Amino acid sequence: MGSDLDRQIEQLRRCEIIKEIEVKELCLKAREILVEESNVQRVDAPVTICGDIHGQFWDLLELFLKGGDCPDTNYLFMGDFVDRGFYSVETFLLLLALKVRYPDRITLIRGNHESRQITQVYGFYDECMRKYGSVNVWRYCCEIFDYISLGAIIDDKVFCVHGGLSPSVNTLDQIRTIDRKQEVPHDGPMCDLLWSDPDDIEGWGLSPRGAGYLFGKDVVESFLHTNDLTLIARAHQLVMEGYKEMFEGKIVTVWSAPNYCYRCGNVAAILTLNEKLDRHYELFDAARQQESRGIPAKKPAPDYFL
Amino acid sequence: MQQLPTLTPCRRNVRLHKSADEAVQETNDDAALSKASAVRRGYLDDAFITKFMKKDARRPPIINRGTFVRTHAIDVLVEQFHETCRSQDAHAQIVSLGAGFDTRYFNLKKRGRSFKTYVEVDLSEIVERKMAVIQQHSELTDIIGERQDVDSGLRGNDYVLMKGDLRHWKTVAEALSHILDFDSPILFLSECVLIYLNTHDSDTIVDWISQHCLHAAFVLYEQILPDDPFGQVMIDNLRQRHIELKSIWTYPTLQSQIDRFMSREWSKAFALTISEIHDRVLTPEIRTRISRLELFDEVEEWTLLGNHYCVCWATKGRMDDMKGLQVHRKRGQKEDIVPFTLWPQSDGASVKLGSPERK
Amino acid sequence: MDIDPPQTVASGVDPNSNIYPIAVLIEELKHDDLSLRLNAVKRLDTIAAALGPQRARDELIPFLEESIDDEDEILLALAESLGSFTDLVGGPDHAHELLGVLENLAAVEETVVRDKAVESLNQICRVLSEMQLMSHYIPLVKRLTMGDWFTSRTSATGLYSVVYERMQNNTEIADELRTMFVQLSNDDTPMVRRAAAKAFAPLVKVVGKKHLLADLIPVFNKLAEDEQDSVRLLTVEDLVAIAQTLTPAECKELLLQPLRNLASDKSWRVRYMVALKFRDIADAVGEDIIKEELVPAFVHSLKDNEGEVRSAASGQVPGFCRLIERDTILNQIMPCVKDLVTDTSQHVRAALAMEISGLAPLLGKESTIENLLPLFLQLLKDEFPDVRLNIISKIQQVNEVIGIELLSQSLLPAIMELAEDKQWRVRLAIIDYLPLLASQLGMDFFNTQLLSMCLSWLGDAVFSIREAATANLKKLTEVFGVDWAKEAIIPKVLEISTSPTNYLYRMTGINAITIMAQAVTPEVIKDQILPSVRLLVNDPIPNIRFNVAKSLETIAPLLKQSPDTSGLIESDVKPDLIKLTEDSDNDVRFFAQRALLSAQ
Repeated sequence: MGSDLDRQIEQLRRCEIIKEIEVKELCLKAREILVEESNVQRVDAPVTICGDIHGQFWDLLELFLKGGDCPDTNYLFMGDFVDRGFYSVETFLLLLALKVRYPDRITLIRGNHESRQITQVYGFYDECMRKYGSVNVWRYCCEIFDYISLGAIIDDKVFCVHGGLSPSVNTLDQIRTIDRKQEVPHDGPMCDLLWSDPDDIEGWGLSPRGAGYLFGKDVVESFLHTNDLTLIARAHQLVMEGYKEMFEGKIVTVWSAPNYCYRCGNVAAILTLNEKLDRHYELFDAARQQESRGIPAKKPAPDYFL
Repeated sequence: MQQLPTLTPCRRNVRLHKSADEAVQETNDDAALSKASAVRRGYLDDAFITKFMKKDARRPPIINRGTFVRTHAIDVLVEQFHETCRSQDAHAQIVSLGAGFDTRYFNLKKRGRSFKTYVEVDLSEIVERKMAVIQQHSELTDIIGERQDVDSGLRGNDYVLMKGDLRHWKTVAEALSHILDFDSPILFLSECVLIYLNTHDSDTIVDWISQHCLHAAFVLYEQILPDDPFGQVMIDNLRQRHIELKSIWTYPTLQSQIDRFMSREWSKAFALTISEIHDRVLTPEIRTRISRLELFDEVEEWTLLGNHYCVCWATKGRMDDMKGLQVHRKRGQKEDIVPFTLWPQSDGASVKLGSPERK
Repeated sequence: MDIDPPQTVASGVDPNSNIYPIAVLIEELKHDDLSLRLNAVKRLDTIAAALGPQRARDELIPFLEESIDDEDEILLALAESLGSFTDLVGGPDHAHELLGVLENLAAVEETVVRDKAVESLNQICRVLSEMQLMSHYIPLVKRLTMGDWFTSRTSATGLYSVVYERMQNNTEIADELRTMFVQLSNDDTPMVRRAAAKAFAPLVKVVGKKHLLADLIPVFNKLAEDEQDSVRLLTVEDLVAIAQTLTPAECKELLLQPLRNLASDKSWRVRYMVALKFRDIADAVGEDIIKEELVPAFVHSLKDNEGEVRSAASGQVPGFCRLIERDTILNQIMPCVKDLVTDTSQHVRAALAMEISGLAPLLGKESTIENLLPLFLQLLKDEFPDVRLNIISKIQQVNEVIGIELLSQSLLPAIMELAEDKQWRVRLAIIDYLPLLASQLGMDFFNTQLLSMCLSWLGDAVFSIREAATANLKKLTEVFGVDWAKEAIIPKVLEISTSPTNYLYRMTGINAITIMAQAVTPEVIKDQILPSVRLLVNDPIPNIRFNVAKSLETIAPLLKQSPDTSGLIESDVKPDLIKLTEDSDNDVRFFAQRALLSAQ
C-alpha cells in the first residue's frame, strides 16, 4: 500500500488524470485482486449500493459527500462506470484505485458498458484517445473489465447484478461456473446478466436493447425462491426518481447518475443496507461544480435535434 | 473530499458575445452534421448532405435515430403532398422556412419529382454559404440547371434560394408573393424554425399563410414539453448555447400545436411525437432495419428525448386529400422487432422464451 | 474494428539516429490518422527547431500553406503555434514569411481558428519592421478587409488596434487604416459589424483624441444604433472605452444620448449589458452624469421587466452605490431593492441575496437595522434554496456593521428553521455559522435553544452534515470550555456511538469522540472518552474497528501529555491495538499497525 497509490487517489479525486505508466501499474495490481474474486462476489452488510455512474465524475464526488468516504463507508458499485459522461477516465481510475487500496471496502461489478465494443461507440475510447493521445490506457482498462465480477451477494440474501437475470441461469452456482475473463459475449448467460431488464410481463421477452431479455415478476420470484434470497438490486435503467422498486419490492433499480448525460433532468439515488439489511435510499442531485467546470467548452454537448 | 464547492451566484450564464442570431445559425450546422452522421451510418440516403458538411460527422446513436425518424416522417408527408398535387393535376410548390443546408430539393429532384417552385428562405449568412457550396459542386448545379445569382440569393427554373429574415415577415412575404401562385397548392416546411421566433413573429407567419393560401399543407417539426424535468434541462442547456425556444411556451403540447392551425381555420391538423412516430408509425420492417444499424443502449433516454419533439401537419383546401402519417400500432404495444445485435444471433443454442421452470 | 494504434515509420532514416524521432513526427504530419497529425502539429516547434530556420522557411512553411484544408482541430493548433514561430524561422527579419499561412487561417469558417490566427498575426505584427509592415502586413490587412467572404472581413477587424499603434506616425497609412475600419463597421453582414464593435474599444485607446472625435465617435454612434441588437450590445464596452478617454464635459456632450438610448434599448440583451457594466460606466463618466443620468437609469434597470436585466443590475448594487450619496441610496435605490426581495424570478432574488449584504457598510448600523435587516429575514425564508444559501454565505459583512448579537437574535427563528432545511447544503451553511453565533449568545441561551439541534445533526442522513456537525462540536467546546463539553456533549455522543442499528452512526459517534478528545483535558479522555472507544474494539463491523484504531492513534499522544494518563498507553491502548493487528480484516490490521507504530 504505497504512498504512490494514496497520492494517485488524491490526484484522481481532484479529477486530474494519472500518467499512462501509472495506469498500467494500477491495472496490474487491480488484476491481482480481481482475479481472486468470485463471479458472484461475497459482500458483508452494511454496504451502500450504487448504480450507473457513466463518467459523471463530479456527481460521483457528490455521491461520496452524501454517502460518506471510502473506506469508512462500504460501497458496492453495480457497473457502468464509463461512457457518456465527460470524465470516464477519472471516474473509473478513481474507483479502481480505491479498489486496489481498500479491496474489502469497495466492490465493483461489471456493467454492459465495461466492454470493448460498447466503449468504442459511447465515448470511453474517444476520451482515452483525447486525454492520453494513445489507445493504451483504453486497452489497459478493457483488460481489467474482463476481470470484474459479474455480480455480488450480500449476506447471502441480496443479489446484485448490473442488468438482471438470464433464462439460462437458475442458480447462483450456475453463474459461478461462467468463465468471465473475456469480452462480454454476444449472447448467453454472461451477456444476459449485464443486459437484461425487469418488465411487467410474464416469463421472458425480447429486449429492445438487442441483447439480454426482459423478465417478469414470476421469473424474479422463482429466482429468489430457488436461491433463498430476499432482494435483487440492479442498475442499468435510467429511473427519473433515482430508484424504483418493482414486484412488491423484490427487485430494485438503483440509478446513480443525476441529470444523466447532462440532459435527462433525473435525480440519482444510492441504497444503504445496514447490518440488518434494512433499506435506506438517499437521493441526490447533480453536483454544482458542473456549472463552472463540468462541461468542456469546445464540444457543445449535450445533443439535441436542432 | 472535505472541501465543499464555493457558492456561486445563481445568475444564469448569458454569453453575450455569441449573439442569438449566430447561435440560431449554428443550429443549422448542427442539424446538417446530424444529417450527415445519419447518412454515414446508413439510416438515410442522401447523396448531397456531405457536400455541405466536410467534417467527419459522428453523432451518438440516439441522435442518428431521431434524425432518421424526423427526416423520414417529413419525407413521407412531402411525398404525399407531391402525390396529391399530381393526382389533381396541380402545380406543386414548396416553401421551406429557415431551410439552412437542407438537401430535400436535390434529393426530390434526383428521385424524379418535379415542382413548379421550391423556395428556401434563410438568413443572408446561411444563404451565402449555401450558394458558395452549390457553386463548387457540379452535382448540385446540374440539378438546378439554368441559374442566376441575384442580390437576394440564387434563382433557377424551379428553385429559389432566398435571403430573408423571418422576423421581418412583411419583406419575405412581399418577395414570396412574386414567386408563388396562390391558386395552386403550397406546402410550407418548418423544421425547428418557428420555435426560435417569438410568438408574435411566428404567429404573423402562420396568419399570413392561413389568409393567403387556399390549398395548403404545413409540416412543422419542433420541441414541446418545456416544463417537465427533461424539458427544463433542455431549455437551460440550449440557453447556455444561447438558443432560446421562444414560442415553446405558447405551443407546449401536441394539442396546442394542433390548435395553432385549427384556430386559424385549417381543416385538418394532427401531431405526433417522435417517439410515437417511431413506435407506432414506422413499419416493423423500417424499425427493424434502423434498429440493426448500430448498437443502441439509450432506450430510456430515447423515449424521453423523443417525447419532447413533435411533427405536426395541417392541411386545407384541396390538400385535405393528403393521408397524413398513418398510425399502425396501438400505444404501448410490445416490441415486435428483433433489434440490433452487435453480434450475429447464434443459432441452435438460443433460449426458449416463456415462463421459467419452477422447481 | 482495428484498435491497434497506427504505427508510424520514417523510412530512410536510421531508427537509432538521434533525428529519428523528428523524422517520425514529420511523417505524422502527413499521416491519415487525425490524432497523429494533431500530435505532430502540437509539436510543430520541435520539428521547426530540428529543421533549422532555413529549412523551416523553405520546406515547412510551404508544406503548411498546403495543409490548411484540414480538420478544425488541426487548424486551431496550427494557428496557435505560429504566433510564436518568429525565432524558429530565423528571427524578425523573416517573420513576414509566416503571414501567408495565417492569412489563410484567418479566412476559414471555424470561428475559434480565425480568432487564434488573428491573435498570432497580432503577435507577429509587433516584431515586424516598418519596411516589412509596409510591404507585407498592410497589404494583408487590406486583402482581408476587402475579402469577398465575411469570414476574412470579420478577422480583419481584430488586426487594426495593433497595426495602428505601429503605424500611427505614418499619417498616410494611419488615415487609410481608419478609413478601412470605418468601412468594416458599415459592412452589410451583421457578423462583421459585430466584430468591428468588438475591435472598437482597443482601437479607441491608440488612435488619439483628435481622430477619436473626428472618425471613431461617428462610427460608435452608428454601431450603437445598429438594427441588430447583438451589435448594439457590444457598443456598451465601446462607450466605456471612449468615456475613459474623454473629459467629463465631453462625455456629457457626446455620450449622454447614446447612453440613454442603450439603457432604454428595446432589446433586453442590450439593457442587460448596460446593467452589467453600471459600475464601469459610472467610473468612467464622472460625477455629474452619475447624478443626473445614471441613478435614474440604474433604478430603471432594477425595475426592468426582464429578469436577466434585474439580475445583472442586482449584482451591481453595492458597487454602484459606493459611488453615490447615502441619501440617494436610501431614497432611490432602497425602495427598488425592497421590491427585488419579492421578485417573481428566483434568479433575480438569488443574485440580490449574493450582493445585498454589501450595502450594510454603506448604510451604517442604524439604517441597516431599520432597512436591511427585514429584507434579510425575508430572503432567509425564500422558497428557493440558492437564495437562502447566498444570503447566509455573505452574512459576515452584516455582522461587522451591526454586531452579531443584534443580528443573531433577529435571525434566530430563521436559523432554527434553516437548520432543518431539506437542502443539505443549506444545513451545512448553518452549521458553519453556528460557532460564531454560539460565542455571542452565551452558554445558557445556547443550551436551551441550539444544543439539541447541534446534536441532531450527528444523526443526519447525509455524511457531509454528520462530518461538519462533528467538527462543529470541537469548535463549540473551544467556545464553552471543557466542563460544558463533559456535561452537555460527551454523554450524548457516547450514546450515539452505541447505536445498534447503523454502523454509520456509530462511526459518527467515534469520530465525534475522537475530535472532542483534542479539545478536552487528559482527565476527561481518561474518564469518559477512552473507555467508550475501547468498548468498540469488538464491534462486529470492521469499519468501526479500524476507526477505533485511528481514534487510538489520535488519543495516544494526548494521553502522553500528562503523567497521570501516560501510563494508559501501555495498560490500555497498546493491548487493544495489538489485538486489532491480529484482526481478520485487512484494513483493521493496517490501521492498527500504523497506530501502534505511532504509539511507540
